Amino acid sequence: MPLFVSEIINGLVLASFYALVASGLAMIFGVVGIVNFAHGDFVMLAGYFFYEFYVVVRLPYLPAIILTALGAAVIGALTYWIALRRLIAREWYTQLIATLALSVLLENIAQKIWSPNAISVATPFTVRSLRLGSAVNVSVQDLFVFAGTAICLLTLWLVTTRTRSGKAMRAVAQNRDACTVTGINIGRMAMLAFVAGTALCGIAAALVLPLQDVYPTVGLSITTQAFVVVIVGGMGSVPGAAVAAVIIGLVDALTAGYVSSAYTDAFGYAVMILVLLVHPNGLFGDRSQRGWVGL
Amino acid sequence: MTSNSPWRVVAAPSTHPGVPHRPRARLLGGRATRPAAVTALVVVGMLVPFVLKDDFILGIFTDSLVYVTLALSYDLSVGRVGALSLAHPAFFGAGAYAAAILLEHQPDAPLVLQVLLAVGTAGVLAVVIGIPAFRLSHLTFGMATLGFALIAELVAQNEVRLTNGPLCVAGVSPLQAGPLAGLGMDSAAQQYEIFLVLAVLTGAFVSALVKSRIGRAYIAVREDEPMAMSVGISPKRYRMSAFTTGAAIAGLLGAFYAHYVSVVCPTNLDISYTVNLLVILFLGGVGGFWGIILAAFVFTAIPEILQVDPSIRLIVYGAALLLGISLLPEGFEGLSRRLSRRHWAPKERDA
Repeated sequence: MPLFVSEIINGLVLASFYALVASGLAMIFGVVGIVNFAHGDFVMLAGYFFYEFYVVVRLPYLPAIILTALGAAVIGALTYWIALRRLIAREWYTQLIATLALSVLLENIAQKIWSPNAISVATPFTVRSLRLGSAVNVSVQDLFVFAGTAICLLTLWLVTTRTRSGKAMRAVAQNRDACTVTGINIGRMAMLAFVAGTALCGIAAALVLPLQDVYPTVGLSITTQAFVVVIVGGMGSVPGAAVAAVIIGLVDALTAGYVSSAYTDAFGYAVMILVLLVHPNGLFGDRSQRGWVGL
Repeated sequence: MTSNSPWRVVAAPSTHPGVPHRPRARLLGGRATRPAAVTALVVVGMLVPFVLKDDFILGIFTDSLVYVTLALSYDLSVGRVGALSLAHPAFFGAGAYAAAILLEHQPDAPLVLQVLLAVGTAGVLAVVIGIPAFRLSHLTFGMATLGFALIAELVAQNEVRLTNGPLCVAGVSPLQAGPLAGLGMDSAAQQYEIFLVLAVLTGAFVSALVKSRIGRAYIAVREDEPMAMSVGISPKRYRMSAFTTGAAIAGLLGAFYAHYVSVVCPTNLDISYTVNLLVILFLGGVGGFWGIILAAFVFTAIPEILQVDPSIRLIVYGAALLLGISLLPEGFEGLSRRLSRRHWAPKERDA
């Protein structure tokens, strides 16, 4: 039983991580309209940023998180400005290949800068833990991950429902022609969504790095898992992504604990296929597989 | 008739006034296929090892031929039916593993058996992945196949009892000259000839397939799905057949590749092969023929001649693909269309 409870806690940590990464991915798909195959590589890159800020520069934890998010956002903004903004009106396969190329580019640049070896960053919170009941420990870092995810998703919800630009972003996802007519700057909203998505990658990396290793090739496997989450949740739906993140996170942790840790990615993938056989558009997807179901 | 079929992965037909739209079924030149020229090219190709005695250069030619075969079979799925699969190297690797593992347990299994097993493994895998993946949209199809490719690599890494994991399946002996093989694989020249034969056979098969009734159905499925369905062509079935056929060819190539490299490793399934293939396909012209063959030679030979470190190569490829695709106003296919427009320049007519 203690094993089961701790696997559930692991699963929820994983779910929080997936929720942050996948909601950014879903938002980028909804607003920018691009399937971002480099999403996990932004997480990987942000992981190295966090390592630089926290271990090399020796900043305290909170400033390191904020700087990591900012760093990821800057890289996201640059990528968007240099390459992706030219792809908004292009064919889907051009976008797909461009982001795949971006993924390869980021992965190999990271390999050149930081070597292919895995690094881990332990914070004091990784080892400090609270006892739950008789034999179950929750590390303080786990609690940070839960709290950070809750704050981020709540902020995302408030921004997209209460602020002018947040509403404009959702409008872009729903109907671009109508946005042109009402004077919403589609390009700026797309950039905002992309930068917000990459900033979420940065926060996710900074929250989870004290618990997990980072290495240059991890990006692709994060991308795959995030896509599994987004597809299960329904393409472009942020709340769907959050719900699916919990499902996939728990499946991953329980199969890793009880079946085999080598095939974690495969089990999430199997869940995706099962869901798609029943709901071809995912749990919360609309029929067109495009558009924002709303937060 | 221009459609906006989401499965279209080739350039849209010309919409310029006065330029008649010709469907891109121009294989082997199309307008003027000269069998004599093709035959001459093949003969020249056959004679290369007799002129070129340098094993290193010959090896580069052989590697390029491997990529020609892979790219042509990959294009069946990407270019012909517009299913942008990212799992092609996984089928190639599955074929190589199937042959190597068979030889590990049965060292004197005949070549026919190895090839059949390799083709069967790749084909069955393609059907298994295709059934759920073709339920998805054109966008998520790529994602699902990528996930499959990653899992294939995981299996190769972790199923140590079957694949030896990262230690690889080693010691696949070079093909011995025999009644069936005809050619052995002892020298660089023989290896080159075998892969040349495979590339030529694949090219002939693909061009015959595309010109056949099936090939026209592929075009119909890619260009206009509802229209294809209205005349009784099942898009799903034809996409599946193109995907599986491409995978089977890749598996067959894999069986021979196992003999060529003699060691089959999990890295043979790596995503970087997909990137190489995408570069070849999209710079050579998706849904084309000679362009793909040329690109396979150029993009395999140049990095090997320059002895580029693979990770630098991928940085350059990634940057070239990303910037090329986003900075060229119409992308590579626009560039090639602009070049090929000369072929179908409008005849001066009374307007």
